[in-house]
Amino acid sequence: MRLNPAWWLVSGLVALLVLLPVLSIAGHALQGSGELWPHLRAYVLPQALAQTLLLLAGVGALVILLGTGSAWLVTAYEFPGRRLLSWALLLPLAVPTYIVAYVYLDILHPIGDLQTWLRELLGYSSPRQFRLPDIRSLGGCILLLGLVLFPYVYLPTRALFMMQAAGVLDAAASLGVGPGRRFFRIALPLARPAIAVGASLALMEAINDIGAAELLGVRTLTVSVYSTWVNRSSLAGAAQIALFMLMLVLSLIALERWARRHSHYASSARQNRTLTPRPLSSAGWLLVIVAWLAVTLGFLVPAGHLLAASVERWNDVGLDASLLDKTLNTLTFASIATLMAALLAFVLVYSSRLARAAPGMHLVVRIASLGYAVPGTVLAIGLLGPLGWLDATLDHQAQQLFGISTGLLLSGTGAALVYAYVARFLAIGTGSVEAGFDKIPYSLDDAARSLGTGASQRARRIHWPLARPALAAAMLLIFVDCMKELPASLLLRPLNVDTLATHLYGEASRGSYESGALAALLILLAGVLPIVLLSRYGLKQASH
Amino acid sequence: MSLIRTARQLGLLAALTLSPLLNAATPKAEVNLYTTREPALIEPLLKAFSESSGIKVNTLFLKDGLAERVASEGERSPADLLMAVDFGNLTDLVDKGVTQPLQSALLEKTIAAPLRDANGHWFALSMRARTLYVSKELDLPAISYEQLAAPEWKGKVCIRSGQHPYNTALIAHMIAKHGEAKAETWLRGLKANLAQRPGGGDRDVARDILGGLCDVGLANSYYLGLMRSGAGGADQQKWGDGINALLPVFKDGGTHVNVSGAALAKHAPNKANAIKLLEFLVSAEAQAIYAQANYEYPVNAVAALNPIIAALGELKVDPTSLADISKHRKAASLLVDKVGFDL
Amino acid sequence: MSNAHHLSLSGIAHQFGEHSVLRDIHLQVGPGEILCLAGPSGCGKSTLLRLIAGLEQLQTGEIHLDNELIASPARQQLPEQRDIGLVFQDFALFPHLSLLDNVAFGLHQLPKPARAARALAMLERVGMSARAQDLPHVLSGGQQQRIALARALAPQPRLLLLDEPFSNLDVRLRHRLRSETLHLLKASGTTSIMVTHDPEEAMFMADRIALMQEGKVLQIGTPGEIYHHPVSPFAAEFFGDINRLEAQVEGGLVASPFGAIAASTLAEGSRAQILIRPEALQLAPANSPGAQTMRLQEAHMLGATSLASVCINHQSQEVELQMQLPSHQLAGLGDQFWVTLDKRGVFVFAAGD
Repeated sequence: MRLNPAWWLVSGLVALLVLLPVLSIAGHALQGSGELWPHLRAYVLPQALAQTLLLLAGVGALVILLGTGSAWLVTAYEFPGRRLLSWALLLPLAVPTYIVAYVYLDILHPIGDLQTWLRELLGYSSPRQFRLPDIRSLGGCILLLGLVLFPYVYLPTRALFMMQAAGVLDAAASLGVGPGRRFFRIALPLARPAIAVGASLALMEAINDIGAAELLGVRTLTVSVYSTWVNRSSLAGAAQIALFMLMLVLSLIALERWARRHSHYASSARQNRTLTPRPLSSAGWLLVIVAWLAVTLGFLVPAGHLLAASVERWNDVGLDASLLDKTLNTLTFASIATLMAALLAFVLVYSSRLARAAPGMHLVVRIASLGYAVPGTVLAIGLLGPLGWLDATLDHQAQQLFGISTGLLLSGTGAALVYAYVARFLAIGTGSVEAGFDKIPYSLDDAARSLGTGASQRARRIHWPLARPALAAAMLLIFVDCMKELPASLLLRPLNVDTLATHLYGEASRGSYESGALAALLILLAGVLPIVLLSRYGLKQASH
Repeated sequence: MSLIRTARQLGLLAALTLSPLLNAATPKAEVNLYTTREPALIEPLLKAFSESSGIKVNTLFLKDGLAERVASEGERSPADLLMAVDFGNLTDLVDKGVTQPLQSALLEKTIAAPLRDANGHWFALSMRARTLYVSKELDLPAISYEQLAAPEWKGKVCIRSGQHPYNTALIAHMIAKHGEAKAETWLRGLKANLAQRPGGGDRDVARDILGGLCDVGLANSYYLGLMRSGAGGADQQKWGDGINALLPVFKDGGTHVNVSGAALAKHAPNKANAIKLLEFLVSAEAQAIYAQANYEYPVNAVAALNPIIAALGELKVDPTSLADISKHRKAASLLVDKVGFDL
Repeated sequence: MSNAHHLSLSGIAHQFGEHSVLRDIHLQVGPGEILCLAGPSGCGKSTLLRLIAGLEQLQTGEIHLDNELIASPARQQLPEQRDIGLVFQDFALFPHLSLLDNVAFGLHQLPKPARAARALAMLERVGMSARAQDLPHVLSGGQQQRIALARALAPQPRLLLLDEPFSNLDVRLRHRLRSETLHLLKASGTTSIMVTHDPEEAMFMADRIALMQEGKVLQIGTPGEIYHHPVSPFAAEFFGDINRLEAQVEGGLVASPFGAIAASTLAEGSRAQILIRPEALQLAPANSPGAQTMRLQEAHMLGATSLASVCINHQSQEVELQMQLPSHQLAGLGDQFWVTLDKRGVFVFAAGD
C-alpha cells in the first residue's frame, strides 16, 4: 500500500534518533585504538566472550525454566492463592540487578547473617573453620540475574497461555494426554514465540548488566567495554568492543528468528475462550513451592533486607528530605519517557503495518529497536556527541532566528535523559506492540478503511484500543526499567538533579549502604505500584 | 514575513516557558561543580563555602565520563569547576582539553609542587594512602609493597579489580620505581598470592578478611575511617574494628598515595567564583573537614589528622612525583590484562 | 433509497511479482445488480475484489464508479474515499466495540444522535437490535455475519463487496443467511459484487455470474445462461456434476449411447468429449423412442433426489454414468431399466479442452 510520507518521516526520524548514539560509537571505533586492539584480542576478549556466553546460557536456561514453568502453573492449575501468586511472580521485575547482587552479597557473605547463624548452629566459632562457597562467581551471578529477570519470560508466556492455548490443550486432554506431556508437547512449542520474546529481553538485560557483574567479579564483555573506556583510557577500544557486542547480539537475534522461522502460529481472531484451570496434583504443589521460592528470593528477601536497613537508618538519622525530590524526579523522568516510548513505539509499528509488504519500514522499526541491544553505558557515551551537536545547533539557530540563547536545551534539562531512556527502551515498546498487532487481523484494517476511516483515525479507533493491553504491559516494563536505569542517568542528567538510582549509586560508592537502602527500597516500591496496577488490569482483561 | 514574525513570537514564548529550566544568562552568585566525588562526601565542604561566601554551589555528581560530558557541552558548558579523584583522572581532564590553567599565589603557596600540575591545570585537595588491611590473627608490624608478591602470602591476599584506578596507580608506581619487567614479575607474584578473584570495593577487603577468606589486602586509608567511625553503619564498623591496618612502603622508599583534586573548566562561566571555591577548599577550615569528616590526609599542613588515621602512624610519602607515575598508568593497565590479574 | 450505482472495469491486469493473477478483465455491473465472481481458489477473484475496494494498487486498466474514475495506474482513490462497503469472510467485527458502535463506525459524517439512530435502524433490519450493547465475541457466526452486513450497509455505500461472506458458516445457516442477505441487498437496491467459490451460492444470489479461471473471465451471464450454455468443459463442470464420454467427429456428428449428437463446430475426424449432466439422464418407459437399457450398478439416496451409477455400452465398451433422479423413482427400479437423454443437458467440446 502506498504510504503517506508523514508516517515515513516520523518513523525515520525516530529511528535516526536511536541510531545516532550507535553511529557515534561506530565513529569512535573507526578512529581505531592502535596497538590496543591486538592486546584486547589476546588478553581481554577471549575470557570476556567466554564468560558472557556462559552467563547468557545460564541466565537463559534459568529464566525460561522459571518463567515458563510458573506461567504454566498459574494458568493451567487451580489452587489456593493462585491469583496472589500470579501477580507476585511479577514483583522481581522491580529489583534492579545491582541491588539484588548487593543484598545477596551482604546476606551470604561469610560474616553475613546466614552463615553466622549456620556457624552458631553447627558450633563453629570462626569463618576460617567453616564457610559456604562464595556467591561472587559466575554461578552466583547466573542465579541472581535469573531470579530477577525471569518475569520477562513469565509475563508474555502467561498471556499467551491464557489467550491462545485453551482449545488445543483441551483437545489434547481429551486425547488422553497427561498434564506433563501437554506442557512439553503442546503448551511449550505453542508458547515458543512468547518465550523467545521474553528470553531475549532478559538476555539483553543480562548482557548489558554491569552492576551485578562487577560486584560479583564476573568479567563480561560489558565490563570490558567499561574498563577499556575508563581504565585503559581508550574510548576507541571500548567502542570497538561495544560494536563487537552489538554484532554478537544482532546475530543472536537473527539466529533466534531463523530458528523459529517455521513456527508462526496463526491466532484465530475468534478464539476467545480462556484456559480452564484444573485442580493441582500433589506433585504440582512442589511447583507452587518453587514458584513462591522464586518470588521470595527474587523480591521478598531483597525488599525485606532493604526495609530492615532503611528502618535502622531512619532510627539513626531520620529521613533525608531530599529523597522526596529525587523520588519525584525519578517518577517524572520515567513517566515522560514511558509515555513517549509507548507512543513512538505505537507510531513506528503502526507505520510498519500501514506499509505492509514494504520491507523498508520493517527495517526502520528494527533500527529503532537497536537501543536495547546496546549497554546503557555505551548508549550514554554515544549520546554525548550527538547531544552536544544538537544543543549547539539549536542554540545557534535560536540566536539567528530569535536573538535568544537556548543554552543547553537538551543536556541542560532533563530532555537528554528522556532521550536516552526512550532510545534505550523503545524496543520493549515496539516488541509488545508488534505482538499486540499480530492478534489484529488485517481484515479489521480493511473493514475500517471501507467504512471511510483514514490512517490516523483507524489508529485511534481500532489499533490503539486493541493494542492497549499489550501497550500497558510494555509501559510497565519500560517504566520499571527507567526507574532502575543507572549509567545514562548518571552521565546525562542536569545540574542539581538526582534520580533514586544515581542517589543510591552515590551512597553505595561512598560505602554508605544503609543510607542508600531507603533509595533502593523506593526504587522497588515505585516499581511495585505499576505491577499491581497492571496485574489488576490484566486480570480484568482476562476475565472479560 | 508574517511567518517569520509568528515563529519569532513562538520562540519567545517557548523561551519564556523554558526560562526557569535554562539558568538564564544573567550572572548570579553561583558556581557549578561537576564532581566524581560522592555528594555526601563534599556536601559539608560546599555548605561551609556557601555560608562564608554567599555563593550557591550547584552540583552534578558523575562517575565516569566527566571529561566526555564537559567536552560534549562545549563552549556552552555550565561547568566551572571539575572535581575528581585519582591523579590519573585529573591528568586525563587536561589531556582531553576541558581544563584551563590558573594562576593563584594562594594555591601555589598552600599545595606542595608535586601535588599540583606544573602549569596550573589541576590542584590536589586531599591525599589518601594505599594501606594494607591485616587480619587480627596475624602479627605484622611492617611490610613493603614488594613483599606482598613473596610466596609466603600464597592464597592469603584480597584486592579489588586490578583495573581500578587505585590499583593501576599503585602498579604504575611500581613500574616507575623498578621498570616494567620487574613490575610484571611482582604483579604475577601478587596474582599467585590472591585468595580469590579480584572484585568488589576496598571495604570488601576488610569484610573478606573478617570472613576468613584472606589474611591481608590492599585498600585506601580513608575507608578505615569511614568504617571504624560508624559513618557507614554498624556492620561496617564491625568490619573496620575487626582488622588491623598499616602503611606499607616501597623498598627503600615511602608509601603510595593518591589524591583528590580539582581543575578549572575551560569554558567556566563563573570563573571568579570557581577560583574562590578552589581557594576555600585548601583553607584550614575546609582542609579540617577533609581530614576530620572524610578521613583524608590534608594538603594544607595546618589541618590536623583524624585520630583514626593518625593511629596508622606517620605517613612517609614516596618521593616519586605523581607526574612520573602518571606516565606509566597505561602500561600498568595493560600489564593487569597481560598477567590475567582479574581472571 | 436510491443506491443505483454503476461500476465499470476495463482492461484490468495484475501481477504479484512474476506471477500474473489477473489478465484483461472487462466487466460492467449495472445499478442495483448483484454480480457474483465465481471460480476455484486462486483464480484471482479475491484480488479483483481488493482492486475494486482499493486495497491493492491497480497496475493496469481503469475502474469507474458512476463514470467517475476511481482507479487507474496513475491515480487511485484511497479505499476510505471510495464509498465502497466490504463484508469479509471472517466478518472483521471490531472486537472492542459494541454491536451498535460497530454498525455506527462508518457513520462519522453524521451528527452523533443521527448516527446512533441510523445504526439502530440497521440493527433492526438484520433483527439484532436487542443485542445492540453486546460485544461481538458473544455472538454466533451467523449473528456476526448479520452485523458485518449491517455495518457495511449503514453508510449506504455506492457499491458493496462481499468476500466469501458465508464460507465460515455451517450449511443450514448458510442457506438462511444468503436468502436474508439477498433480500436486504435487493430491498436497499445496493449494487453488489460477491466473491464465492460455491456455484450453488453464486447461482442463488447472482443476477449475473462472472466465472473466472486462471485470472480471466471465462464466461459471464445469468445463472441460467451459464448453467445451460457453458462455454467450456471447465464452465460446465464448475456449476454441476457431469458424465464424460469420448467419441470421434464424423459428418458433423458424434456418436453417443443415445444416438448421434450434433458437433458442427468441431473439426471432422477430431476427438470430441461429450458432457452429460446427471439430471439429463431420465427414466423412460421401456422401448420408448431414443431410450436405452441400463444396468444399475449402485444407488444412493441424497434426500429429495438420489444418485445412481449405471452401466451402458458406448462404442463397444461398458462405461459407467451417474444419473440423478427423484428419490421416489428409486424404489421401483429393477436391475435393468430404460433411460432417455434430455439434450439440453448435453454439451460437446473438443477433447482436451
